[in-house]
Amino acid sequence: MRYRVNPDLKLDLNRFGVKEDWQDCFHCGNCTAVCSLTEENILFPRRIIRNVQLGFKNKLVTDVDPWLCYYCGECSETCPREANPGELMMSFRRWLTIKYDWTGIARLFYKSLPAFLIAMIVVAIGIIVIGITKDFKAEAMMEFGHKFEKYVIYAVACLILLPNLLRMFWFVILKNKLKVPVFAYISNSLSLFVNLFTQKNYLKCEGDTFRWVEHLLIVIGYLGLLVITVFFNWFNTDSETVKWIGYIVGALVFIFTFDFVLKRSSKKRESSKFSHPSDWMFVVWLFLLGLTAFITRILVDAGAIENNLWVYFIHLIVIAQWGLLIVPFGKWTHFLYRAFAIYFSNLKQAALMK
Amino acid sequence: MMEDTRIGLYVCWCGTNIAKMVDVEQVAKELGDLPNVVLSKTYKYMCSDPGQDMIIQDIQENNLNRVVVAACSPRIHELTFRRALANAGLNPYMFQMANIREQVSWVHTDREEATKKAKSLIAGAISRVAYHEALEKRTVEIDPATLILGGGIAGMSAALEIADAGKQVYLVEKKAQLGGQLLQVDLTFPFMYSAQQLRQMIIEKVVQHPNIQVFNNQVVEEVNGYIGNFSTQIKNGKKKETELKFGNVIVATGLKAFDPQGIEAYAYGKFPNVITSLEFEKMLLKGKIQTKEGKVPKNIAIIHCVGSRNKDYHEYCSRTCCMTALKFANQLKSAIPDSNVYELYADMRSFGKGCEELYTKTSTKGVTFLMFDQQDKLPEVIKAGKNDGCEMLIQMDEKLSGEEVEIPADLIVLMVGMEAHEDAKKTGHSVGISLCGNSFYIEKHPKLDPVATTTDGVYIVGNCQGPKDIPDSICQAKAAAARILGTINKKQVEIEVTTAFANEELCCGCQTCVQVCPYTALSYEEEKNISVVNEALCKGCGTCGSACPCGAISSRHFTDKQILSQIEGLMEMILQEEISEN
Amino acid sequence: MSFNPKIVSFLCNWCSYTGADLAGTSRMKYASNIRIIRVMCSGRVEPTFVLKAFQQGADGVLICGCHPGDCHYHEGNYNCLRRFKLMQKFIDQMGIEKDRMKLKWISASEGKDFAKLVDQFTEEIREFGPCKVKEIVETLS
Repeated sequence: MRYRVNPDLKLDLNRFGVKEDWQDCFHCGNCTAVCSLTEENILFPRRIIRNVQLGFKNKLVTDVDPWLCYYCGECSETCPREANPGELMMSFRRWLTIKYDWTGIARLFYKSLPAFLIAMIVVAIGIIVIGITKDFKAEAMMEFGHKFEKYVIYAVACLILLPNLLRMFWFVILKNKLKVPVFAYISNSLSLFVNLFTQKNYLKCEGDTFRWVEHLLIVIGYLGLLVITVFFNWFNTDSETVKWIGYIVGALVFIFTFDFVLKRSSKKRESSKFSHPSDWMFVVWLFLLGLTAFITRILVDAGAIENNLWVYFIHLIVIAQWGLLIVPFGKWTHFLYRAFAIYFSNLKQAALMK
Repeated sequence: MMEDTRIGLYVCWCGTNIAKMVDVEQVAKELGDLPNVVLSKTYKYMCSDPGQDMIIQDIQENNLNRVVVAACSPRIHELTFRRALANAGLNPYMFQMANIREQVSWVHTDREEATKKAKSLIAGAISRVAYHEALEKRTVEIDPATLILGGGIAGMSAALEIADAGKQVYLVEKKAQLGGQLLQVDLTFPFMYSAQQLRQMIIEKVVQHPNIQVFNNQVVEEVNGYIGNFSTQIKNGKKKETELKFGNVIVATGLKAFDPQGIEAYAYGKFPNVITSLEFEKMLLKGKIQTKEGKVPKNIAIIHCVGSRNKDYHEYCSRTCCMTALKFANQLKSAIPDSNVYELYADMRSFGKGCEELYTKTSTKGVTFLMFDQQDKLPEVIKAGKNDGCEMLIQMDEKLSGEEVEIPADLIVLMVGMEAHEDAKKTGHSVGISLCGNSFYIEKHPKLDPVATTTDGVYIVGNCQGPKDIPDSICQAKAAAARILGTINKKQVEIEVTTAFANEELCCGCQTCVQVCPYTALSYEEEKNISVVNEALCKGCGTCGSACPCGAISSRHFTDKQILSQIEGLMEMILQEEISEN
Repeated sequence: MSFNPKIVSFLCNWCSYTGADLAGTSRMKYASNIRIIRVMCSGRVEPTFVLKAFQQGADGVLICGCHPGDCHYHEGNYNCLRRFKLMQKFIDQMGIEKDRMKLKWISASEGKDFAKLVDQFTEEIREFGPCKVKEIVETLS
């Protein structure tokens, strides 16, 4: 197959956060040499940088390897040309998410911060309007909120996330014309779930156990909070067990996301040197989500929610923005794509082995 | 022999270097008995001051008239001992060395065999030295004028340097205008100075200089003479001839661009929008970058190493094309900001001041670099299809991605390499210098003497010696100028003593020697029907002597008699040893 | 007593003699049968020198010069090559095996090649056995 060289991709990619440093790359291969993920068939970042430089769009969109990278930053530290290969990989993942997204909304949000902010404001206004219709009554609001969460989850999962995953599957497996044995789909499904919840491949990236633990605790906290509020109606439950589990997971979320925010603003780590607005939005909103949920439940316990409904109201706005915008079109998807990328990568290996 | 032959033999220990493997005492003792040897000694280090003093003292006290030293290679210490002889008042050529270190003690392991070999080598030297003749040093006056061939940047720089020192320069340029390659260049890399400004600055100085006489449109057919005393006639077509006399010559005849027509893959001449780097420079000089159809090109591909670093064309690197190509990319990006520039290179060679920086700078300007393999498969230029949105496509195996790629192109610039002029050989022959395999002129020593040639008084500078950029050319020009000013300052120069000489009585006038001499040192004198040696031109290789059918020519210090007696001496010693063994 | 070949060798000053010096400074070991005579250029080697060597009892003659194109005097080595071919024919007619003389190009950097060449040529001559020319000439006269 002959690929057309297309320098436009470079310009396109500049909108996804990366600076033009990576064009300095002269392919010494140091990045690939230090990368702990490098295997015989996985030679990134150098190979991906090359494909980006030459603009092989059709080839790049079928590439699953970028998702395997957890941005330990060693490649960027080692690069003799200071071309920041790690940051290119990060931006490239953002580019891939817009390629997977069938609605085109992700593309719009990445390209235009104002569009995203307007969408955030529109969602907030929507919640306010609903609040007005409910006369700002605590009981009605919370009942609405509980239902709203549930429907948003189902809708986003069915209408956005699932089709996008199928698109990813199409690009990575079908477009590459890989003949995956049926058995492989089943045998690898367990590791899919393990990876989805633990992101254990993170540990492969050497010397970063603490960051992984933090990450894992946030995932546990986030998923726990989701389950406990949506399926166990945490805000209105009488069960002591559910109540306390809720407190713990809620606290996990805002405590560790706060640490993430601090780290990102200190810019000490290679991976937090360059932050895209979508990165900030992700950690800050997750923090707000955990914090407002936690305070709301405290107020419920104290019987003061009626007088301090604004806290729940903010929580609801955060939830709505999170669920309608950040989860389907923002950085949240990385969480999903990463796990599936490992799954697809395993399928690919199985197909190639055959 | 008019007088008694009195030979002094000295065998060196060289510490243990020789003494360990050769029984020096035995050698000295036995060879001291050979006829004509009046004295035979050994010493730890003959080359040391006490060693030399010993020779000097012995010459004076024992009336020695010939000396043999058996020690290291004559390439190391022959001059040392010749000087010692001269200091003792003896002609330095009454000396012969036997190499018993590099050829004996260091390469053999049997002490007995080594000692035998040393003996025979020394016996050969003793037998040879008896026939040595006194040779006198010769010097010639230096004509202070200098001839410079080629009015490019190198020739002009050399001219100014010499003229500024107050010496006459004749600057001969084949073309109508001074400037050489600079005439065809817009900006220079890596600092983007205007070549035309540089050229005008230097030409003004050259033309106005009272010590420089410029001959445009003139060529030199034949340079006669030797260092210090050259002469030539320069020709303007067939009309006028001017006779010039000068003491030194600088050859600065430059280069010519490679013709890419022979490389089929690049389709030069087939597609009008495939052009050479020189044609592109012309566009830049005019200030208008456009295709043959008059359109502004959107996709411009620059192909490196055209005719360079490729076994089928020239194996050497032309050294300037990579940087010129990067310069082009910068010029293109500033002239047409939304254009796509592709650099198709084999290896990026950005050595030199400011050059790697230029590469880094260019790589951040959105220029796409693609690497191809010179030996494997060259990129191929083909006509684009209707839907490709461009005129031509380049298909290539891209080395860094390992993929087959195609590149859209509206304009393709071929970075043609440098090669020697077709008449390089002719010019070289006219001044007596030779070409390397690539038709560039050969320097006297590639490392230690890169501007001189094996012909004394003739220097090579600039691109005629090998591809190089402007600063390198100017460095060479000024280096040659310094060398020439040095010899002019000395007013006279020593020339080779060990030359050939012809015996008029024996010469039959066959002119065999005239044909074999690489330096035109031999000429035929019709009146007397004999060959005559111009000793100033002769380098003493001796080829004429061995070619001469009547034995009329002999090479000083390497006469038949000397060499034959050396053979005799060493063979007799071997046989003598054999007999004594049996 | 075993036969010990006697070999006379002519080396040009610029390439081959320097190459032989390099073999020495690099302490390479080779057969001690060779006796080297220095000439300025291989083009200086005259037929008389070769004949003289055989006449004096040499069993082999080795001539070394610069590689083609590298001659210090431009083309002396080519002259040598032409003369060498003739000389071979000539000694052959005289009853001396033509391969008792050899011409090889040794550059200043080829010390190792020189050492190898000497060993090899010594062995070749050893196989030929002693050259009888000297005895024949002596009996005839």
